[in-house]
Amino acid sequence: MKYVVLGGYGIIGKAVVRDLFRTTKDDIIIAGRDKEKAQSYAKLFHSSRITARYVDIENQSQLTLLVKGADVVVNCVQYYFNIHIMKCCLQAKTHYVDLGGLFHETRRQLKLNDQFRKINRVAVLGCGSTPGITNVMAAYGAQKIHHFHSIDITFADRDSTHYNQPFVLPYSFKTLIDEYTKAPAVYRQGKLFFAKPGEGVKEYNFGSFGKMRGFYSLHSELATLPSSFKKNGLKNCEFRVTFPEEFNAVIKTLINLGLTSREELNVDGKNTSIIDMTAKVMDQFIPSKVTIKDEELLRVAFDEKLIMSALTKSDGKYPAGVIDTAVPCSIIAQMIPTIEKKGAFPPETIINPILFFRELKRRGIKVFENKREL
Amino acid sequence: MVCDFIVFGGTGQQGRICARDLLECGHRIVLAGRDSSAVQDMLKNKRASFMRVDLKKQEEILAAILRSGAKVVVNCSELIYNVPIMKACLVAGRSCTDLGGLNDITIQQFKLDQDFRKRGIINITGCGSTPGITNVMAAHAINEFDSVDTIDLGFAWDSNIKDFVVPYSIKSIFNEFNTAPIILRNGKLVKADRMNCMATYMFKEIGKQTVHCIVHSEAFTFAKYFKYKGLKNLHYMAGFPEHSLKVINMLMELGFSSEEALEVDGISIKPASFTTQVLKRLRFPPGYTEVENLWVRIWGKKNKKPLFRQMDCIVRTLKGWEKSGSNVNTGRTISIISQMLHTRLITQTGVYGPEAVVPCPVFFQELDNRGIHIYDNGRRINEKKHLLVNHPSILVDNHLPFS
Repeated sequence: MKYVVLGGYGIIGKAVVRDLFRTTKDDIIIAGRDKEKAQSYAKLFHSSRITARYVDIENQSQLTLLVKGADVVVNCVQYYFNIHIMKCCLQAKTHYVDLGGLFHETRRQLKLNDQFRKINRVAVLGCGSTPGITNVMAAYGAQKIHHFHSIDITFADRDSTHYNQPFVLPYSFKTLIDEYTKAPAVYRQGKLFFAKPGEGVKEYNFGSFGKMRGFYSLHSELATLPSSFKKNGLKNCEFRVTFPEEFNAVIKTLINLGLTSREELNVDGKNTSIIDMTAKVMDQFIPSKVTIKDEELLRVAFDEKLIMSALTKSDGKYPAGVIDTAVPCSIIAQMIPTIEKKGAFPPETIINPILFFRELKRRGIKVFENKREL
Repeated sequence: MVCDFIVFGGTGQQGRICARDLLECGHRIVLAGRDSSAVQDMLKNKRASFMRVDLKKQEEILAAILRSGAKVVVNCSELIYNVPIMKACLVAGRSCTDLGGLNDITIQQFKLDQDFRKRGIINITGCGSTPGITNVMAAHAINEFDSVDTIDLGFAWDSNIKDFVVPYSIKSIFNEFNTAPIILRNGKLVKADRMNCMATYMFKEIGKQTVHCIVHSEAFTFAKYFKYKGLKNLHYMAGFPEHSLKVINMLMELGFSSEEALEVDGISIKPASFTTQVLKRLRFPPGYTEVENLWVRIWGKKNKKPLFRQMDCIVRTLKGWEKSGSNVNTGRTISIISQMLHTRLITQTGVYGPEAVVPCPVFFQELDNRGIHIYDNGRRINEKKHLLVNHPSILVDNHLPFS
């Protein structure tokens, strides 16, 4: 097998490459616009199995040429490029996995189902923690209780790291801002609608994690679960993000000040995108020089009758939120040869939960059915 | 058109306030700046015109002053342009005013004193709310004392709606917060720690607020002008309401006030400049009003007995000036002092702080005409009736020995 990991030197991409390297004997190409970063990360493995390649992802012919001959393209770049990358995979006839398309992009991606089926390839959309593990937990729950009305998805993080910085950014600033500002999709009484950003505040009791307030957020699960589980009687589906109150306060202030606008601005005679510059300032708060000690809990509740949860602990190098996003992506990329159906799918329709959970457990991610570990 | 005043930084917030005040007083003005889009409404007035000037280019400053024919140069730009504009005034032979240079630039400005005297012109530095009104209030109150031990002064403000708005130039705020405050301790100017140099006072119209020392030009000019009263200690302190201070501190902690350029898509940009531009887009929420207290507290002696005196200047959001909040007391004050140069009410030559040359009673009266009220130990003093009854020497100078 040969994998191309696009953005394989980014926050999540690095952890995906590490998992593929540790758990397979296959070849891995780390590719992206920053060849220097790709090369320096590849060198760390001291292995001929890992190589670095320059590619301008926006350049269709260049990207198609790069992925030709690979078995699976693992897309770890910003979701804005998902469709474009899938089209290159169609031309190059490769399988494809990604980390999600924040609802709207996912819906567009699903429309490429027929084209992937025609070339006898698989595209699995949303293979991280959420979407990803949450979707497969939903599939498991559906197999267990067959009939249910509602699915409530959320997650929480418990962090005991001693940071020497005033703020900690858990993942891509732009994705985070999308979660706060894009109108969230909500499925209620069998109908999909868009709520206002920040609406749907609900307090969750996460047991040892304590109580946390969550709010609706735009997520890919809402693009697929309602149709995937319509036959099971699903009428309500909601996704909420939870963050500590102080974290919320900082992000909301940046939004209110206009520092996350997508408009262009002239600064000292130079044009820049406001959010790009703010993301640059905020990027410095992605922890890099500390040993992170945190745990992340993903939670999928069915009518409050069955609660599926997945618990991930940081491993000293990567925070829990990076591990539980990267690991499932690597697992699903490796499962692709065993998937019989061809086309573009969300994970809940084609991934075998038992096999998937077993792989998660091998990597230290525990899945619970109510409070019983699977 | 030959004009009375050229206003540098005339398209910025304070420049626009000053320009409007000058126009309302019937003067002809030139607004000098880089982009006229913010002053299109003002340019409908036949007595106003616009001149494109890049203040980074010394020759453009001089050419603008000469071309405008202005008698007085009003500098409402960022403080880094104070010295270049003064140097252009020396060549052109025009008097000028500005909004202050914190510590370092104020010191550089005073080094040009002899040049200004020789040229027969004046620069008054720090002609806004503070420095500006605070300096003149101190000059007014200090006459009462035989000797002065300590002066605390500064500003405090609050708003009815607790949303963040830019209180004044965010670049100045970043500068003031990022620089170690300079205080006068036992007669010597020394650096202090902003977080440990603070006080909590009750402020008229504001209530209780904790104020922190920041760097400001008053430390330098008060030490110079009030030395003859034996002034030993001085603290300049800034008070922000909690909701505003929280946001400023947050922006600074996250690096949005940094002067170190970052590269974004191959373009190098300073976070501080970026933040300034983004925050310029913020508008006051509907119904938003402010109140600001500029305050001076003086401890000293008279007839060998302890004496305390407190001056307060109160300004609220004024009718017709709602978009400017309490900032009117900066832009309109530099307009008043600049007009005093134009009408030759001030005739000295050299470089001065306003406490040395601005006649208190006339100045206070002009502030009152603009809805800005002055209180001496809690009693309002700039109502016309008070001035006439209690201050017969209305046009007499400040009685300071150095002007």
